[in-house]
Amino acid sequence: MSEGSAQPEVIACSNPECTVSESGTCVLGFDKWKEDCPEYQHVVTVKLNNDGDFADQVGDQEVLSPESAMKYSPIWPGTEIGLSDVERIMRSSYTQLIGILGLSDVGKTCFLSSLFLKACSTTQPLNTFMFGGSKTLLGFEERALRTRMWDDSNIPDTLADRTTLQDPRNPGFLHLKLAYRSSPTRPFDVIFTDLPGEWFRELCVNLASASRLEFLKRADSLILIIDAERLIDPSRRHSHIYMTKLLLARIRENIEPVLEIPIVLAISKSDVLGKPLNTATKINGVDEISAEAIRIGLNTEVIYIASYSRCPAIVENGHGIETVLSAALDNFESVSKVDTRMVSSDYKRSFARFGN
Amino acid sequence: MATNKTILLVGGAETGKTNFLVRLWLGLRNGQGKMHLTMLPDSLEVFEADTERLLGGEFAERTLGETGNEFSISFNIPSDEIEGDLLIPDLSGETWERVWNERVWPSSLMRNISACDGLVLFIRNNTLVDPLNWIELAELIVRSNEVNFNGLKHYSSKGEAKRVPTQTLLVEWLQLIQEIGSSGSVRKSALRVAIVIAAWDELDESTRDLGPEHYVETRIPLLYQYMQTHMDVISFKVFALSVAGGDLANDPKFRQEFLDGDPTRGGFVLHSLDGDLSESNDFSLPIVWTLGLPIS
Repeated sequence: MSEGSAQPEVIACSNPECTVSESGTCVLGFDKWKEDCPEYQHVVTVKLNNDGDFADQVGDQEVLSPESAMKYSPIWPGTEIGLSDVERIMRSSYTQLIGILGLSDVGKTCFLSSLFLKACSTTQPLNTFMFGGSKTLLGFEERALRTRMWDDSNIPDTLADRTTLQDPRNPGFLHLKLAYRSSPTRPFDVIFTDLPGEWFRELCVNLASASRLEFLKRADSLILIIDAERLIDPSRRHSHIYMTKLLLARIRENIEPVLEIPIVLAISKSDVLGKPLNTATKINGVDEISAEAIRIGLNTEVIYIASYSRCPAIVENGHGIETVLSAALDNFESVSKVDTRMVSSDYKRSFARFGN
Repeated sequence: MATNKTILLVGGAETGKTNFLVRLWLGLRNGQGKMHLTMLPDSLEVFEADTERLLGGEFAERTLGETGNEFSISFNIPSDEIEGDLLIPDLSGETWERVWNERVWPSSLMRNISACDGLVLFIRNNTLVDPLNWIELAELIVRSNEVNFNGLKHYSSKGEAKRVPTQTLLVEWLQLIQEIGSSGSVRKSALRVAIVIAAWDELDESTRDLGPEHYVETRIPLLYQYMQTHMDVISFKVFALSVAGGDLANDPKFRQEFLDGDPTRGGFVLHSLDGDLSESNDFSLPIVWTLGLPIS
């Protein structure tokens, strides 16, 4: 067999008590353990060399042989999580799902990177929240380091169900566990979407692509990133306003989020103004977009942000990031009683909906 | 009361784990401190070379690979009539770093983690990798528009490829260890984690004056926040220590003083087990605390 022509899978469950790799039987009793078992996380893939034997090294990439795989147990990849992983987190605790929306290059990834940098920083730390963990630490690091970028020539069409370490960047989710500083020992899970801007452009121009975003019905909030740099450029402003309003309309009519959820219009790269950002800040087009959002019934708030600043003496790095997060979480801190309700959905997996 | 205990030392390469074990061993042999030996281990080969190095005024060499070495002793704590066996696997920093890089646990290590009674997390200032800063983030964003730019793979800071920030590694290891502990085997009690700032003497005086807890809060904020948000489920305690009390490698005068004195009693441990920051010569204190055994 030639290299790459067949890639048998070696099953290695993350549960040290499970022998599914040898027996095919899940120790927790799941018949469909690949789909249903919460302990099953990853498939270790091995490659064949040109002789058809299991290779310990293919090119410059070391891979595990089946024998080696038996000695090792896989760990969650940490790059991003897929739908199945999100569902598992949601089963174990109440989880806030925040959709990060916006066209290509508006700053969606920078927003997440900036949030993570603030958690890591003592010079510009988080003030309202505390970091309590993440199942996608590797993903945050790689996005900040710009080593995990979208392959524009090969954007996947669907959300990842599960992820493996070898995968390129897949549309999926990033995870943070946060706590309010006022109650540090009560951390809660927050899932952020990590979706390519191309998906939102396609949503604007073709309704047929809306189905892959239906899970956003479950979102507890949405953050729509709007690019200040395009708004202040006369040659790009009108197009950006047009597409953003179209995206809002698609969200309202075709995604149909719960209307009461906070939708934050985060005006990114606002340091481009070169002036301090405050309640008096105005950029052409923002009022028009905001008015349109309100007109179609969305509960929106405008916040100017600078994920990183080109003039940090005037606008600090990470300006507005935490304000956006606080608005999106909408006083989650005060929720003390929860009841679960299932939100019916035509999507293949349903999410639990918590409400007062 | 007889008991079998396992402690895992967690930390990257050159964070002081092996030097700590050597100094702990020498202290036990001297009968210093809270924890005592009840009998000699069958084999001392594991640390023979490193013990001789320290007694000769040199620090241990870097532990390489998955050595399979284990520090195994029979101990007692006379003041509390406690006795038992203690096992501390000697794992290289590369083993722990491999967990991050390759996203796999050696199954043998998984079994140790499932059974361990506590962790000692090692940090050393001179090997600490800081997180990305805002200036670097801005540069990376600007350069990401370049053709064939691969992020960090092309970006260097001070002429060296940037490594994973230490605080990210520490938090990830803790999360993964907790996941193993909660998923299958039964953990007998809440996890206890001693955080040890090794080679404390390497820090400048003004930093040392503020104490090890302040160091964690200001230099390793991601870990500090993780500690604060997990206080209900994990017990943490911060220690600082210096195996020799000074720089054996680069301070010939100190080295001479060290050798002219008693190397088996060198160094110190800083702790706040009694409330205030105190200095002790007892290197078993981080172990005794991690085991949840009485200190005073």
